[in-house]
Amino acid sequence: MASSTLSDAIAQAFTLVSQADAALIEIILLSFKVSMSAVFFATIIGIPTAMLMAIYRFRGRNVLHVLIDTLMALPPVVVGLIIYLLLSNSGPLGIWGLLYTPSAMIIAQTFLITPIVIALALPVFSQHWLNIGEQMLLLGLKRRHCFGVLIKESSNSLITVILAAFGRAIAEIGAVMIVGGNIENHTRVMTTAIAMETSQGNLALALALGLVLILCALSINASAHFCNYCYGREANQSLQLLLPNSYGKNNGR
Amino acid sequence: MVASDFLPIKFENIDLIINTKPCLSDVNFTISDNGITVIMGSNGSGKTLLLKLLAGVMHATKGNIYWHKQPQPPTLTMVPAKAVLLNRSVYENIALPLRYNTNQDNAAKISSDAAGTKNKIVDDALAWANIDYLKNRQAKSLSTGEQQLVALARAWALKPQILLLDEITANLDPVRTQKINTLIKDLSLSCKIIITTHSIKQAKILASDIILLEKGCLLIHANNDDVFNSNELKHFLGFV
Repeated sequence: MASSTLSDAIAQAFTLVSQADAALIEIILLSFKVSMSAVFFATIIGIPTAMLMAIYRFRGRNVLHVLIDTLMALPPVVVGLIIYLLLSNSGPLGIWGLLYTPSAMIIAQTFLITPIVIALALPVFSQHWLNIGEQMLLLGLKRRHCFGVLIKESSNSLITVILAAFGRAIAEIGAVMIVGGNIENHTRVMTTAIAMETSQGNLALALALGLVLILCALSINASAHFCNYCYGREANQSLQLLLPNSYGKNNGR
Repeated sequence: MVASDFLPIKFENIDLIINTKPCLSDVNFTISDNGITVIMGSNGSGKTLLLKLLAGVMHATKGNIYWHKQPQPPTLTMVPAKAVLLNRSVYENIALPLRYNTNQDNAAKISSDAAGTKNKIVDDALAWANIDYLKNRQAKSLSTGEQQLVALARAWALKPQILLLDEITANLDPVRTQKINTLIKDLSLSCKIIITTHSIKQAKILASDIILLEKGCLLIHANNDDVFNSNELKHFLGFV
């Protein structure tokens, strides 16, 4: 009986996805809009912060490091609650009227994933800085000139960092549920919809959204592997130029 | 401004302690001549640390370094034992530091016609090191010797007043070593060179004066012939 219900739900889920159900598409688009915006803001805050921490030694750097690690471990519902208190009518930012809007969800997700971006990017930058920093300074570059150099040197790893942040954002439920309110046609995203549809017994829609989420995870990982593959292939191609035939051609140039 | 404006370079009572370990102890010497100063010593004797103190990337625990006639250190650059190249083409590796170069000669030329002049400087540097054919190759895909030549060409392009070379031929075959020695000699005509090496042969070929270090202490600093006839060198080589 239970397996029959499950198989029916799976079948309906595939139907919803294949027919591009309007409600489903709206939820998916909003999810992507919110998560991608949060990743954008987290990146423009997190990457320069990580770079500053890697390149400069300043008072309070270790405290900042501990703080970021702590923020990374914060439960999403706590973050949601803090943002809720800030944005609620009686809160200090209540005047903006952002509570229960996609903007509030973006703020909550940005708050959640910025520490992740910093914590993942910091060791990447630190390692590259260890390898090239001293030489760059000896070549006459100031530390501030090295930002672009570090970004370019770390670009492959940074793609993985950003994909990890996006994966975390799109799968998040606690904070967006609290500050977004899961309002139909307004703030309902995939995770909040799955929770609600499951509690209402509407397994087909919940499963369809779950399928899309799994596809997201799959495409994120596939993208990360593809980037690594491309980078590896580029390195191999460069190495192949060292083979005798190619080397002869280069010499003849 | 020529390198001799910064001579003599005076190391006065230099002590360097890293993590409670004394790495350099009471080092005193004065480099007065243009040409090539070779620093020799066994592993861990403090050769690279001396270069880093000169370069200003480390600071002495005690003592001072004086650059004659100049309140500020000269423009200098350093090529390490293992070339540090960026993950981009050879051209870009040489061109990048030119953008931020503080050498007045280069800066004036580059600011007048940025792209064209930079291109020409890079081409000249590649031609100087005879590695024109590597211009568009990915720097990290090159062999160790080729990477070292790119690093040397990059240093040449910057036109430093003082060039510090840290065991740059340590991992190279004799042919490549000879080629680099020739380039170093050529470079020494336009800038002061201070080089560390383990190779007696290289020191003999290149040095105008030699500094011999042992366990962070100065054994001898004298001109090439004097050092090779000294008891300190024989002691260093284990002959006495």
